[in-house]
Amino acid sequence: MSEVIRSNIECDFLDEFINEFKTTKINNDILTHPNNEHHCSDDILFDLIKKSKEFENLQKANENKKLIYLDRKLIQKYNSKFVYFLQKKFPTSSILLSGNFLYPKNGYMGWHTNADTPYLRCYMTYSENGDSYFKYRNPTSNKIIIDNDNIGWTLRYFIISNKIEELFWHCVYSNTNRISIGYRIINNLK
Amino acid sequence: MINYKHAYWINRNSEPCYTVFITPHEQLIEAINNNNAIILDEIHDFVKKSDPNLNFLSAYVFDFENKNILINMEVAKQIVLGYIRNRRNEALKELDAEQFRFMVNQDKLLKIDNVKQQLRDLPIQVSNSMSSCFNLVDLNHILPPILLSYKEMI
Repeated sequence: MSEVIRSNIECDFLDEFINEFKTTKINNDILTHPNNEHHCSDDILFDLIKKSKEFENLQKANENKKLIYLDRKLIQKYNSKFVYFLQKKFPTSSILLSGNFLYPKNGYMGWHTNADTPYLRCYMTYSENGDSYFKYRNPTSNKIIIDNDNIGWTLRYFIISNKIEELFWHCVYSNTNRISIGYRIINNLK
Repeated sequence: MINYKHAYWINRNSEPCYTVFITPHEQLIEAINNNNAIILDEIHDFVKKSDPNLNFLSAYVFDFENKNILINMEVAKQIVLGYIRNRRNEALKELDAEQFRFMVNQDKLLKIDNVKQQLRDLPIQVSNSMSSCFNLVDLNHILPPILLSYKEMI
């Protein structure tokens, strides 16, 4: 598997999660920033790839992002449900929470590779109106692909590699409220 | 600015220790004099990269001459196993309470029993899985999902 696999998620707890999320306060300061979509442009990626000597600094988006971390209590409450959903699909894997973000309108996470944590990833995202996307460079064809979110929930799996020739460059831009909950799935249990 | 120093050292009971200090205390001075301490101006690179929370301190093996920290993997595996056992025991306790709550619901009781058995078997499963762990990163990634999802499973 070298690309992104996506599917719908059908779980009974998702509506409950979203309803509860809607009761939490969101700091929408990012709304006042100039448009952030250029951080996810192809040109920016090409520049980053040229700086391959700085490879280690590009594993994470570091400061190159505008987003909010989801309320810890909300995540604590629902983590076991998300884990159980994945556990049924990957019964011999450890499942570790790797990210829980809220991208408000105009939120983004710039290009990065996550090559320091090279495992199968699963991201479950909720997009309020579908005006948001996950963008990546296919490590085999080098094509850059914009993978638009569904309205509501989208589930994506992709493999993160730490080999320089197979780096999975990716980024996110959102023009709406977008929740993203990610897990590392490590096949290490016998 | 205060210049703190970082000491990775062995105490009188032969236990690996980590101390941040300005002026060393008596036992640390003794370790320094006996060449049983690595003293650095900042956190050791190994700790920074592999064990920032010092979860594996008791598995450290110090190479004082080269200022290196090595890991006794067998001790490190026991630390992980101990952590998993503790979490497992907490889960079993909670499921005991659930069993009591559902005393008259046979289906539920069977499900709880099944999950409890999986939890009881967990240390053996984890122990087997750790045979393919060769460093602290591998060990830190062992987290059986049942430790989080046991209540969803019943």
